[in-house]
Amino acid sequence: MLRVQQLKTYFYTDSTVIKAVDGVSFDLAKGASLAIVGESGCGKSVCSLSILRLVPTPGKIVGGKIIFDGVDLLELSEKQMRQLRGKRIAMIFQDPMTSLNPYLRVSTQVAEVFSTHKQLNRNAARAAAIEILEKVGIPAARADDYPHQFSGGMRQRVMIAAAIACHPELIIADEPTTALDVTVQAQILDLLSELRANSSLILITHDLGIVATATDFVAVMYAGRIVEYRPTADLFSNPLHPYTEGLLKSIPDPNRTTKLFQIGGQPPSLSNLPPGCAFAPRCPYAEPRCSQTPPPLRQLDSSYYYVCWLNR
Amino acid sequence: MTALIELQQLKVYFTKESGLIARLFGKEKLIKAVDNISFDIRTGEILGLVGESGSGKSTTGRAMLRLIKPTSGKILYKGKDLASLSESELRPYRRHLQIIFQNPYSSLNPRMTVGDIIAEPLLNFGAKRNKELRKQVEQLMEEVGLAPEHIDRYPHEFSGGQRQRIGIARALALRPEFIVADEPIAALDVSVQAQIINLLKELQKKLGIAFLFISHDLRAVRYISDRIAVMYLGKIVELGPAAEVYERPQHPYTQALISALPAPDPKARSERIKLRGEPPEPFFMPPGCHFHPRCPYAFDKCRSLQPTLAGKDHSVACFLSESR
Repeated sequence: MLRVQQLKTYFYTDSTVIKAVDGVSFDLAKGASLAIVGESGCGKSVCSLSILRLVPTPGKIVGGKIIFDGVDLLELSEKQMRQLRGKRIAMIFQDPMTSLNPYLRVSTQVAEVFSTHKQLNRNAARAAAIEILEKVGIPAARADDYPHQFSGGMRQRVMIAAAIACHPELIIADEPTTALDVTVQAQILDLLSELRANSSLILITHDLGIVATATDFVAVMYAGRIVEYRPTADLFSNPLHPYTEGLLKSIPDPNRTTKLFQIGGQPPSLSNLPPGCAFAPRCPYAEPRCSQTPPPLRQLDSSYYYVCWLNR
Repeated sequence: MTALIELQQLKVYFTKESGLIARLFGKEKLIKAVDNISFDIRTGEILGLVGESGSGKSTTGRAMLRLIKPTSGKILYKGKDLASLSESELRPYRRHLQIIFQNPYSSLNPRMTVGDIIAEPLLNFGAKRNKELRKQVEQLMEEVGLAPEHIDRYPHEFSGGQRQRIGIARALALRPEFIVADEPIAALDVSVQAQIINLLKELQKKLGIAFLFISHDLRAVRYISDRIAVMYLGKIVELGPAAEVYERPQHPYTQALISALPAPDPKARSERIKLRGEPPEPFFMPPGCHFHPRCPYAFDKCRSLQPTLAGKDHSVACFLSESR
């Protein structure tokens, strides 16, 4: 359904080129869910914005293909892209307060999706909006409230309502629960998995717990590249890339109080990457060649892979 | 172990700013950020304080250091009530009580070098600007895992995790007995969080410093703390040894909080306790137990009366456990 090939999105500043996304490839089947995990600055958000062609300046998609339902999104005109966004590909952002318009009632904002993409008239769009808001747990009596009158969790419900309104084929959710409390996070994740029905899902997160509970496949990103891309269950039971291994090991285990495993050092700066593997300076298995020559992509069954000199 | 610092019926109330009319008619909105809490922290102990945003955990931490003046109640530090002291009387105590902030980007002055930032508390308490001071700062940097040769650099030249280490070195400079660590890992990358947790635990062991470790990350709190206190809307609802609270939570809120944690294991499909709704606005506090509108077990009593924290080592504020 979605095939991303060698996607490259670079940011051009006066003095440097920041390779935020540098050759990312993955597939997503119809109805499946994929987590993109990584730390801040690893390029996971830029990757999702690239799929929607919403990369902010000075960023530019400089290479690759994004095949969605047989069509390369990078070949479409801006007008064609606009017809796709919100209708066939929907997006849920991290902070619902900044993505909702504070001056408009939430019913109006959700109705807009129906009037834009389904050409419903004003009353029909409003009725459809109220219906879908009820589905996400916002009672009709509150449909005409403004965003600031809702709590964070309720606002995120509004965003979900708008996202699922047109039964999109793909939903991209960028850290949808990061701004929420744990108990509310659980509600929102349940709601999302319940309501997305047949839509494929790309979930961007830094929380491995969410990955494990909410997605079928995982792509682990580090410094603009995917270092490991595999089914979730396999990745958690047997991580192959040392970075994935380190991330999993550094989660505090409630049954053990021995010293916590830690990945040494700091994430690298994207404007100044080493010629070889970006993780090499922090990798416990690093050999001399790791920092000099880019590591090979090791293909596993079907389209899964990891990128490392280590052959496991 | 004896109590190093003890809170007795601490209350911190804020008034929400309101218009002239509301003030004229005495209808100011009162926010009970910290509502009558009591607990102690023992010498060299790490007490984890967990709760969701708005539960009052940061306010508690700041009030303990008198960075916020409490409305009422006592803060006993080695038997001396800090809440009753004036600013000048408080000053000699300040060196023993330090804080590490959440955001290592906004809590370090960008115009000061790392060396000056770490030396500032020392200079405040009488140190002279000389070679020895510089040496002391270099030692502090080494202690928290920073390269001493970076002493003349500015904060922006460091990454988030390293900046947090600068904040820790500054807090350590006066060799305090108690440090409030207010969400020290929340702003850090996952791979760096473990480094900071390990560092804090190491400092506790090596220097015998007591910590109030404030966090919403239950796993981290379970790992680092000796005891855990759970806060909900200004009240402590459960307090006990870390393993006890995590493995045998008694309060329905603690139970929900732990079960809502997504397990980092795709095979673990745990039975989740689902909570209704979200915490209410702090100035519309429900009567009775603050948690009852979301509690799956609430009964009549919970709607009218407030439960108090009861129990010896592992205490709970819930009518359910009372009747058990």
